[in-house]
Amino acid sequence: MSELRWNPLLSEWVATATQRQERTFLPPADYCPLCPTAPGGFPTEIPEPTYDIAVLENRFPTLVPEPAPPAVEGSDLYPVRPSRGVCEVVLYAPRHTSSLAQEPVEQIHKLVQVWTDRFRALGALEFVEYVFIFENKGEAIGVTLHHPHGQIYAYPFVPPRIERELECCRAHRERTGRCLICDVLGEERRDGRRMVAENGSFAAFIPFFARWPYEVHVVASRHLQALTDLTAAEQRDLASLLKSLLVAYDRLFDRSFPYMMAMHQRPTRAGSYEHYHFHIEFYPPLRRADRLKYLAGSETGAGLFINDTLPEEKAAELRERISPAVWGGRSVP
Amino acid sequence: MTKREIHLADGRYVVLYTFEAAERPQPAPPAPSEERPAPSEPESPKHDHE
Repeated sequence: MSELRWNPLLSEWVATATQRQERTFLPPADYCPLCPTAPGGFPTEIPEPTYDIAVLENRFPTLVPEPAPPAVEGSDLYPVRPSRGVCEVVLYAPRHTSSLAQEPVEQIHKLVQVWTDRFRALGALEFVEYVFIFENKGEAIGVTLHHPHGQIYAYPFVPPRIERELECCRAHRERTGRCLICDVLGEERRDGRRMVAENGSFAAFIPFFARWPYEVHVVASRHLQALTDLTAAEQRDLASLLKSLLVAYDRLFDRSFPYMMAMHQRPTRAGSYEHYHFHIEFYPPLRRADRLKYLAGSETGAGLFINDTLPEEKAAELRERISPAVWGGRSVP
Repeated sequence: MTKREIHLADGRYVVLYTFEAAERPQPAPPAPSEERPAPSEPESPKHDHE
């Protein structure tokens, strides 16, 4: 059973999706449902012997294009609506033991192009208002399948975190005439202490206001709103910067580094979003090699994040581990 | 980039993306002032699971 229930205390929707309780949980590698189907082998969800990058509908979706009516009746106080939308899984590579950090930058460049295509395709659906591209990486985040993959949720509304950012960007534009995220990027460049890496089209930094110890924002240098606005050169630069950042993450504690990746783009519903600015946020849960940052009472119950570290110090740690991505054997700054 | 959509027995779609070798980008050579030996690509730590 799945439906959207309105939370009047926060003016936001909550999704119930009880079928997800039954989803595949950490299967052995031989039975990974996201690997290509080997001839004569276990039939996976990909009925092909290999693939470059594949996208499939989530077998245990929260949102579906043609949902059943809500299982409960709503009221004026508690509206309900069907869980209409799309949930996709993006398979980064056929190799089960890989990760985005381990893939060559050329593969990440392909992924950028696939993300762009999915943003365009899902955003064109009449019932979709926001396309959210994200990745949960690592058991620390709660992944249930180890195969390298990300996800896309196409929501029937603009989710609350994005709505709040949009509103802050709009208010800043009205007050100053400038883009808020351009101003954040400018402030980080001027200060310099929290910068992690930069190339011709993108910059990566731990923001002044980071909530997670190793939270990094990857921001387009040019004022643009979505992947579909990127030039071919900017797509390559995004791949390069992601490769450098993810390798630096893995080098931090000499382990595959868990994180949540959240891509923030303009809504796909009708409207003007010129005041918004495309960027990607990474929220790694580790505060030390062997310690997790939990969302506990203050963070979850009151909304005040407590960061046990200084962004200026954590950025320096990451900066020391940054190296240029290598395209076909040549480094690209 | 080409894509091919197939359908599974349960009705779900799978989109397979394929890229030609010619689509791989050729990065511009660095400016003379930036020229330097190309460092080898770093290896991420090997792991069996997260």
